[in-house]
Amino acid sequence: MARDRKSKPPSRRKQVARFLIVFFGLWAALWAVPYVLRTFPPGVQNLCPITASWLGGILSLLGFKVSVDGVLVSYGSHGLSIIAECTGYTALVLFFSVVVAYPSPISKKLIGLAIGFPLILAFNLLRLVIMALVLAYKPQYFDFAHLYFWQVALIIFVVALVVFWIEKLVGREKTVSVSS
Amino acid sequence: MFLLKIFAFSFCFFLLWLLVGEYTLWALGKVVLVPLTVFGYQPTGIEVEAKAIHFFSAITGRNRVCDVELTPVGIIVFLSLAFAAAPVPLKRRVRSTLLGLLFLLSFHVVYLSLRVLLFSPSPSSQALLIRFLAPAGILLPVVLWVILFPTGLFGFGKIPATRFRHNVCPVCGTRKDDVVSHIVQGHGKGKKGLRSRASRRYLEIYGEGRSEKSK
Repeated sequence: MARDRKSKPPSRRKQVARFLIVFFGLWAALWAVPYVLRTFPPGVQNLCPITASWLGGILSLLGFKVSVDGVLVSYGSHGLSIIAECTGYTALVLFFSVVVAYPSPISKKLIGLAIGFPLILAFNLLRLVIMALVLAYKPQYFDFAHLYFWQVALIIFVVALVVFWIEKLVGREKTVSVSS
Repeated sequence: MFLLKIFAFSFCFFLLWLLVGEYTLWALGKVVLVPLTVFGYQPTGIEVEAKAIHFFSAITGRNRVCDVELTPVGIIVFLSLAFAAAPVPLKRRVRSTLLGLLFLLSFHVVYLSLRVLLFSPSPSSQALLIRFLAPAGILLPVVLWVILFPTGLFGFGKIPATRFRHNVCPVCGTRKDDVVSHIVQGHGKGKKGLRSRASRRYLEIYGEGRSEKSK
C-alpha cells in the first residue's frame, strides 16, 4: 500500500530544526534586536519602574528606609537603578520563545506561560532583593553575585521551568491504555 | 530528578569554577593571543583579574581590558545541562560534551578577539556585532544543549513505549491488523489521527509495521 509522504510524522531532526528556527526568530525579534539597537518596547520600559516599586516595597518590609524615584531605588546609603535587563525581560523572552516554539498544543502553551511568567517575575524579584542585601551588607561580593551567580541561576531557572513544563504538562498527553 | 540533577551539577560546577576559573580564563586569554597576533595587535602578554582579562600590546595606547563574565556562565550552564541530560550512552555524552565545550570556547575566543580588535571607549558606540554577541553568548550553552542532546528537551514529551501494543490503535484502543491504515481511515491524517502525538509515538516504536510487510 502506497502511503503519501505528507502522512509521515516529522522526524526528530526536523522537529529540532523547526523548534530552533521558531525559537531564534522569536528570541531575536523580542530581545536580541532591541538589545543591540538599545530600543526596548514601551512595555518593557514601563516594567522598570514597576519592578523598582516592587523591590522598594519588599525592602521596606525588610526594615529599610526606602525611597523609589522612577527606576531608582534608594535604601540606606545605597542605590540600585533598574534597567530593562533587570526586569526579568531576558528570562521572560527566553521562556516565551521556548514554549511557543516547542511542539505542543496551544492550550498547554497558554498554561505554561500563565504559570511561568509569574514564577520568573517572582524569581527575578528574589534575585534583586538578595542583590540589594548583598550590596547593603557585603558590597565586596556584589559584582560576583550580579555577574556570575545570578546569571547562571537565572538561566538554570528558566531551563528548569521549561523542563518542568514539558515533563508535567506536555508529556501528560492522554493515550488509550492497553492491556496485554 | 532531572531538575535536581541540574541544580546539583550547576552548584558543583559553580564551586569548581571558583577554584579553577582563573586558570581557565588565563588559558583562554593565551589562546586569544593567537588571532590577536594574526591581526596585527602585537600582544605582549595578558593578566587575569577576577572578572576581566587585560590584554597588553606593544603598540602604545592599545592595551585593552575585557570583562569575561559570559565565559563562566556559558561553561557552567552547558556542563550542568550536559551532565544532567536524559540517559545518553557514556561515549556519546562525552563526545557531545567535548564538542559543545569546543564550540563554546571557540565562541569566546572569537568574541574576545573581536572585543579587543574592534574596541570602542564608549559602550554606545560599540560595534553592532559585539553587542549582538553578548546576548548570543548567554543563549549559546542552551542552544548547544538542545542540538547536541536533543533527548534532553525533546525526550520528555514522549509517551512511554509500554503504553503501546503493536496491534492496538493508539488513538481509540481497538485491535486491528493494520493499525496505520486504520488510523488513516478511521481517524484521518490530521492532528487527531495520524499526526497526533500518540500516533507519532506509535510509528516511532513500530514504524509502519505490517503495512510495510504487506506491500
